Amino acid sequence: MLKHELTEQAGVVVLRVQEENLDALTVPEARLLVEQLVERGGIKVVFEMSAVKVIDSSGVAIIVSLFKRLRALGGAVRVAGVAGQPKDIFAMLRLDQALPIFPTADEALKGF
Amino acid sequence: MASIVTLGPQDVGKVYRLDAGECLLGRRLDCHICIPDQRISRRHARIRREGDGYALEDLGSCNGSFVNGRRIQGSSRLRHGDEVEIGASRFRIDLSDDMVAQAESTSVRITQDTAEHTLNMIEVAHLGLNLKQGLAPGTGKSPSGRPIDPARLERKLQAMYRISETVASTLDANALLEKVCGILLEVFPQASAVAAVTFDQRSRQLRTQAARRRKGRETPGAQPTMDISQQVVDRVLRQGHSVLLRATTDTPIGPMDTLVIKNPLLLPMPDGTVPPLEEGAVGWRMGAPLSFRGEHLGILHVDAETALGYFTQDDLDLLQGLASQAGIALHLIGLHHRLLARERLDYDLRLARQIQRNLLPREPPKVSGLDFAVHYEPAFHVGGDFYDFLWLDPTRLAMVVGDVSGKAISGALFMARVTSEIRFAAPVESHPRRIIQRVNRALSEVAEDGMFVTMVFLSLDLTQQVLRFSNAGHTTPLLLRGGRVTPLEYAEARCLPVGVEARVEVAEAQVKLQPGDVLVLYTDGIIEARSMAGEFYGVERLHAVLERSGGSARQVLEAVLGDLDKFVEDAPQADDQTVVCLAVSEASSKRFESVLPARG
Repeated sequence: MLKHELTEQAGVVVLRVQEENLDALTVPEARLLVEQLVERGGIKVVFEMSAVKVIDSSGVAIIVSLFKRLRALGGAVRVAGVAGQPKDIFAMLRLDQALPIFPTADEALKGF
Repeated sequence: MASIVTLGPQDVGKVYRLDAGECLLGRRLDCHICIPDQRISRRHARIRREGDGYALEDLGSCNGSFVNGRRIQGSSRLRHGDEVEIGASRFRIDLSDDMVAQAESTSVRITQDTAEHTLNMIEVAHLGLNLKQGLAPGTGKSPSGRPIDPARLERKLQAMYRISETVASTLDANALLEKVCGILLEVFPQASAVAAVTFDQRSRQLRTQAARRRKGRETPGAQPTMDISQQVVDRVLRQGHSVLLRATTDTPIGPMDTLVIKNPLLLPMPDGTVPPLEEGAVGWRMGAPLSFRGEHLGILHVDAETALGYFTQDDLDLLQGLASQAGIALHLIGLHHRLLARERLDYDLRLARQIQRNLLPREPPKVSGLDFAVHYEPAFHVGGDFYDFLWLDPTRLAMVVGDVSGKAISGALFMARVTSEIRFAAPVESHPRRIIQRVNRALSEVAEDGMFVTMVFLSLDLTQQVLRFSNAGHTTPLLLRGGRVTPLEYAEARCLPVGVEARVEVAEAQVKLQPGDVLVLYTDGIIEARSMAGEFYGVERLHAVLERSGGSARQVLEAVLGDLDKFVEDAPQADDQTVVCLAVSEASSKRFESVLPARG
């Protein structure tokens, strides 16, 4: 299973990914996790990924999928802790145009 | 018998035994299980004994080893039925030592007999008769050392000849075994029933694939099925020995060794005569393995009732010889079918690739003053990368290079959709930013889940050599001018990938090209190509090789690919790779021939 930690604060689910690679190999499991989140009705999610050192397009696809599905349910996703290679990828993809990105999970939680 | 069974996609059903110690899986030819798949490392993983079981250990492979869909860290203990996956290859672990127990469920008495059968068995191999040698030509003696009766010898040769003929003429296992059964009835006049039972390695089931009864011995209406006892399975299928048995109705079955010692007279005497059957005996039975190089495929089974006669050692030798011929044929038939299946799969993938290639331009456009070079290499037969050239009008050439998230078939299908949307949108909108917006609107409705597409869309005005472009999340185009690389990166001209949000705002950037300029477009499969050590090729190396290069589009492209090849060595290609180079030789250029109708 994709290593992760789930906590809940005031109706917001914080999903802390604890994998260094978010790529084609970890994604099938991440997909399952996203399904579970959505099923549980956790429609406000902070996706905390400071542990992620390398992300590829399938990893991004998970975040995009989470974003689209939660928005369809009237929810939202905020991303926190993007650094290094993932930060470059996020910049290339201009993901900030769709996703609010915060330095830390605490900041993402403020006013969510 | 611990084993690992190949589930696919190649060598389906091939079984490797695990009891020989370590079993190495990888791309290298000296691996026990050698799989020529780029995604598999040279020495990828191994299965080794651990305590009284087995464990799978990943040997630091690039793409990992999976047990039941989960990537293992280091080593993972294997259980019966576990599914192991490396690259595209899947295997099932079989630790069952209870093949016999499974076979037992199919073990019933001969359908015609009313009396309960129990079997006394003599395992001939235990008595020093080496049946594996079969016929010993030229010695004039059978393997048991008795002189061979010329009439019997002729009968054997005839039978062997007929079997070989049959074997050569069929590629269908059922037909083959039906014919073999027919021959067995002819060759053994004393036989009342014959059967060919095959063992399916995947389901571990025994199946009566062909069976015949001598005329006048059938039960009306009954299926000519014949099942097989546990001991026959045990001795013939597991150990590969031929057996000669005598079936009685009343002798209790004891441990095999005891039986052999207690009833030595059940074997034919050295002079070929057979001891009279005891009270209560109902018949004789022979079984020989259908095998090929130690792989046991099934059993040839011959029964005789007392009224018809008995079997001798010679009969068993003959059956063994016939069975080994039939075993070779069965193996070849299996091989043939596996090859067919693989060819079909290859054919499907080739077809998919061809369809995709047809969606991409066959060759770059011909424009005086410009030259193009394209490299397109999907990682898995069909890919998510794409590129296209479109004429917006006779003086404006559009180019697009993109990458669909998701690989193989799903990526390729979505790619087909994307390219058709682009071709539809381009003549209507005619400006890069608006084309991107239009394609994005169409695709964000249909893009499933996390699917998205990065693309850079450029239009070149040939009269002015002015390049305008917008970039939806794609890698930055590079401009090589005077030995220096300039990334064509403008924040306003960059937006989200297509398919994420229905509305995107993006501007267009513009550059005037000069003679000598080379424009390089590429996908992330280039900069994310990894070396053997797992390091990314990276954009810096790409800049460096471009600065050392120059000349025609082809020369620049070759320089990049050469450098990339040197960097990755033999590391597997994980992602599609596309490079499009455009070199400018004149201050203004012109389309060579117009196939567009003049616009009214």
